[in-house]
Amino acid sequence: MTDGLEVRKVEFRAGQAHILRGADLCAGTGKTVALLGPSGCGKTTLLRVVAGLERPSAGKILFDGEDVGEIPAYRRGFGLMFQEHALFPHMNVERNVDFGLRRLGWEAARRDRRVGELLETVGLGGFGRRTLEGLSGGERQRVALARALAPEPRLLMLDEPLGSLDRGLREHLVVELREILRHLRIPAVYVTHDQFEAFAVADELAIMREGRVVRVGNPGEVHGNPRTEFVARFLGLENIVDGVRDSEGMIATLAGVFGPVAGSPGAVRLLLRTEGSAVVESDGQNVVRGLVVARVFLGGLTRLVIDTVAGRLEFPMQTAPAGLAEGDEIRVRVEEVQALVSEQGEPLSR
Amino acid sequence: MDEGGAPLSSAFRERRAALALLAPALLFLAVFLAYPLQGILRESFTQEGGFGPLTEDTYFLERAWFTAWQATVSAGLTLVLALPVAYVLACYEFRGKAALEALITVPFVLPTIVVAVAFTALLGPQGVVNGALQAVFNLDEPPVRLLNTLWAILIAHVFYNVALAARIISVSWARLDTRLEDAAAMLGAGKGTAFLRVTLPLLRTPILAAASLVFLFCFTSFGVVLILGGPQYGTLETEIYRETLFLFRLPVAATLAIVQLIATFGAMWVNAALQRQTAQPGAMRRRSLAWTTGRRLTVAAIVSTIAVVTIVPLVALAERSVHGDAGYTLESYRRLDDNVRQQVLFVAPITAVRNSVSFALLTMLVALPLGTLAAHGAVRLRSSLAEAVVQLPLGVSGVTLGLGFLITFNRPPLDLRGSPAMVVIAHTLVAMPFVARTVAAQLRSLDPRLREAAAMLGASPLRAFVAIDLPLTWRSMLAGGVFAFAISMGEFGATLLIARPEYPTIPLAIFRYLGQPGAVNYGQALAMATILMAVTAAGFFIIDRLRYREYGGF
Repeated sequence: MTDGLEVRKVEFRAGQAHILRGADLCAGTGKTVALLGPSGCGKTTLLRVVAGLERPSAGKILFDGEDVGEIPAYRRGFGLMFQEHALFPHMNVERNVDFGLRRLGWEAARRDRRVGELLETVGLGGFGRRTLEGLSGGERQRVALARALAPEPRLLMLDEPLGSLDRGLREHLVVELREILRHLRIPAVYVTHDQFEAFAVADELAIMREGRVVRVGNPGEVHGNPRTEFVARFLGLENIVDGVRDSEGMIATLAGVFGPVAGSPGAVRLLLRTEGSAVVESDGQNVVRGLVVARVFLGGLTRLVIDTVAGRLEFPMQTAPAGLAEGDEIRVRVEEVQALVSEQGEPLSR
Repeated sequence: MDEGGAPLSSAFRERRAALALLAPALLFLAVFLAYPLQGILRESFTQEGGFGPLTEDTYFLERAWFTAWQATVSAGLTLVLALPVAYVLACYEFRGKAALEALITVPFVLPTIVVAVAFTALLGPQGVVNGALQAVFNLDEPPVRLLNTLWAILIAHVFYNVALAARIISVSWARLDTRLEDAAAMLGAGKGTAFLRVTLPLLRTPILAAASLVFLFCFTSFGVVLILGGPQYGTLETEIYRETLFLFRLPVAATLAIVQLIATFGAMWVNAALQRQTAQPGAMRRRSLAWTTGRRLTVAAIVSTIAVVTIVPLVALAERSVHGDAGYTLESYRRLDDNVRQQVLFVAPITAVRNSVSFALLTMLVALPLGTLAAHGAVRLRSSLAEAVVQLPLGVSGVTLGLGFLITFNRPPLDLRGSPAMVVIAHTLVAMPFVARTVAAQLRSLDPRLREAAAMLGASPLRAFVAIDLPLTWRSMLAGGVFAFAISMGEFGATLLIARPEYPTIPLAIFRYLGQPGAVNYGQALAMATILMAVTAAGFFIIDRLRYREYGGF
């Protein structure tokens, strides 16, 4: 028996559209799983299926080993924080948070206490009597969180909870959210298309593509070894070149020779990682040569964009050499390369 | 383990729930609309009937021709007056504009019988105009003889529909890009040319939509033609009435009803197609035109004209109702409980008031839940077909409905002969589309995720309805209820055919009193019409305050 949520091979069709194609997902007690993927990959649908708002065409939803597929949404005891929040416009802050508590049949004094505590937790102490109209986007987000937490759900799901907020606020709130989720001791599923938000909040990443979860792992592990081109590109690791591996494991590409990387000889797709890479003077193994197209100042870092025979590559650098102009020839030494495989685990060949 | 069983898709479950919500309304329509219409169709094909008398002489052909002709002319005249009003509503912002809009819409919501009586009070032999002219010029005979003429019918039709047409056109007009006219001006077009070549062609669709709707209403106009036109002007609707109640030639009446149904559903279909073309999302309003002296004068002239045209017949009605031989008196109102004729088939007006209020309350009680559930079903189904089906009764005239009831509910399985229930059912059929429209309009703006959020917080579907749907849509339901009440109070055609003489409604009592000689009866008719006017106008202002105006599409 698995603790917490387990989604097994869930399919979902709406008319002609095949939205979920055998999605699997686990979220253990006390763990926050970030469900990450491009828009349209089925993240929200998967949440809605787990919530009981949509019925899967096949597959199972288990919670603590029990099949909850036949339990209607309002009896599953799951919490969902909606995209755009879906706060009840005809109720004030307090009544919104109180809504789920009333369904539990708690007595008034106990409910009042709980609402007060929750509003404190989300930083809205004293906001109880306010109407929604006067609230900012961030405050609405906090009300929605408090409302979802109030009835003490056994699973919390958050659908792009920070999606409607501007960037600065998002970076601030995601840290707070992480703190709150840490203290909950329930599984949480956090849907986002923003990898930085996912890294910030998640114990575990689950990356979705076209209706399937294609990769699961903790953020460091997934980012450190994306394994597939899709995951690599989705996480912003885009220095990918085609090459051929020889019997020693060295890989020849149009941009240079890299390696060694263990594996059988033949065509291979190679990810050039940028960590630790530096500008060097001479050619050699694991060195890329190209023309500087742009230097993009990023505050602490400078991103060098260079054109090579194998295509355009980008290297963020702590210290870019002074006097480097656009159009200059440049050599960059790469410290780590990884061979990518297709999602089925086969080496990529083209 | 139910791996083998085919699980219902949620779309299917949603559909099933929506159909369940629609079911009561659909069942009601099947039994009380489709079944009577089927009866009419069958009646028209019986031996002695139908198309025989229709082709024997040209009488009915002339009536059909007249029906279409007067409806066309009415629609044309309505547009002539509606365009300037639409221009003012669309292009200017000024204080009291909302009040003006509400005021000029009042005639449209008044029962036909009230409008008809109001025009007799204004233009009849003892009317305000003739009274004034006789007094001033010392005449023995009333100089204005408009009653029982075509003009009386046309004027009443224009009075009735001008606000509706103006509102439909103004909504589109307000969305026209002013720069197009500017561009025309830059290309050397004068104001008149710009209007004729740019503005008018762009408004073609809404103008035609308005015209088709006015045509539809005038085509089936009953009370106005019957009372103001007199015996020499018959439309299909009044012919059906005469054939049914006086000549007892039901097959002929049925055939006429079929002909009329084809025309009304045709007009409805054209109107729906035009409205689909007109419907543009977004409520972009153009800025008010800058005020110049010329524009001020134009707007003032248009506003005062339409205000006077709207108010005068209504004031005339109220004035005549308190007008006595020796100055003003409340005599007519005091005698509302007096059955002057002392006849069995006559009742005191106060009884009619009581009947009407009872019928209206019952209609509200039936139409509100039916229409509300149907609106929920149609909105959840996202089906324009479902919405169209619920609106079908609008294409069936009152007299046709009454005829259908008479010939189908007179024997088992549904023998309702003489039952007051027939009146409530007929009124419900007329009122339900309005309830459904009003509620659906507000439901469409309700975010379905609010219900889902409630479900995620542990609320059952019923609980979610009570906690979310009800508080967020009660205004439209209240408006729908008031609508149903007002429609029932004013319904004339169907009630005239099916209500027993023992329980007349206000419109029926007014109609009977109009047909009786004597000042007392006429005074009582005026008093009751005034009361009915006050009740329906009050109802309309309540709806208007609730801001659920849906006249744009009926």
